[in-house]
Amino acid sequence: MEIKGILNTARTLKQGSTMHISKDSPEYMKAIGYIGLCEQDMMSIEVSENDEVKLASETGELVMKVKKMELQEGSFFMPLSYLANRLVSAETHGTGVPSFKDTKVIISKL
Amino acid sequence: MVALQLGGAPAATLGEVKNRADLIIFWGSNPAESHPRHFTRYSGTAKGRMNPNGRKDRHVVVVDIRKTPSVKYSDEFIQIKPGNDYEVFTVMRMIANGHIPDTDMVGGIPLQTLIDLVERCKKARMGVLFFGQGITETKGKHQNSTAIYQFGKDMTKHSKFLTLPMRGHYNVVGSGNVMCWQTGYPFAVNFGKGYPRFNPGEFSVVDLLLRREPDVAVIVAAEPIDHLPYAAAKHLENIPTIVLDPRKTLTTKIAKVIIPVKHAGVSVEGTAYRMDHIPIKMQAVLESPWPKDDIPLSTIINRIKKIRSEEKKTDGGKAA
Repeated sequence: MEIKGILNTARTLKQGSTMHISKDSPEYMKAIGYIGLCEQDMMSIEVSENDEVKLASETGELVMKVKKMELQEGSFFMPLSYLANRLVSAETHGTGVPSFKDTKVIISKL
Repeated sequence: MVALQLGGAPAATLGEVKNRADLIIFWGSNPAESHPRHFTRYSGTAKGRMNPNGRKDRHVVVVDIRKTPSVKYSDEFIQIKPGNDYEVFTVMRMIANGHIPDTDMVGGIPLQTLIDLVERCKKARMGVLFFGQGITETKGKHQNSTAIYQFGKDMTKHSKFLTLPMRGHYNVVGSGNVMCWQTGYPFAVNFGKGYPRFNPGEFSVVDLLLRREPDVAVIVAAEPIDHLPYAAAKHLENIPTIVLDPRKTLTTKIAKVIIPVKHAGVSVEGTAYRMDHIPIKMQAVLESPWPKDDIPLSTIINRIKKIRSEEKKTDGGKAA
């Protein structure tokens, strides 16, 4: 049971504020350690909030907790951090800028 | 930066935005989380000369792929399909120039919504389109920004219209400005041949690290281990790294040498550039026992120069 979509990574207020406490802090880990899915996508792979799912991109794999968010179907969200950057490709297509908002990801239920 | 070179930019300061703009569009930008004071100081509730009632005098539009927290501060939310910005801006330019395409939807947005938005831009006393990394880090990248700048130029035939990037990170604009007036280029500058060369994709940090070209790295007030794709950043774990930072970070964890320095703008005075390129004088407000960034850097440079000159003397000038 899996869904395919595009991962968008971005700043959140919590990520931006807790990183100044410390990047080892439980507050920062809580702020960055989730994958946002819309309700339809959660139903497709039969998961609820706080369930763990496996994320796989061409570059890496992660296990993350699910957070329900208002998103389009097939559009996934993670706060920017070293965790999300395990999945983001370093290919810049000659621009110098990685595709932080355009990573193809497959999500499956654990 | 590259888009600016390709498209040019109708720009002004944020003070002009506060005083004059009656139409604000945030495209691929979420100021409620990324620039929390922008809305109250310049673009939303701030009262200005021609906006005496603040928020009531402005129409605020958010265009994004998701319903961000900024949406609740807007008058209108337009949801776009991920990766369709270039297509939508091309159609908006068509509409602006009197051509209506034969379709109902563009990039997940009803055509009529785009027609109405273009009309609103044309009629604005002063319209401002702020765009964020939702534009530059998705499919199309700098070409999306170029399309935005070109749309902005189209709009200036009808109204005062600005297109401004929502630059993030403290003083990133300063870095671009200084690089420009020192070398002629804003970023991705290579001094390897003894003179500056510019080529994003070749000399930019992510590409260099991915190709594992650097054999040593000096990192100043940056956090590549957290902020760059791991596929590139992991090369830093295998080479000697010298990190200048006032704080413990994920990058200092992998550093071979850590040099604690004063916090710029907190413990050392200087100039930081605001996102609209206005230089702001920063005062030192806290004492710090550590040196300013330039002291260890010039010490390293002078030491290298000395070693080079000694090498030259010993081999009779054969070494390059």
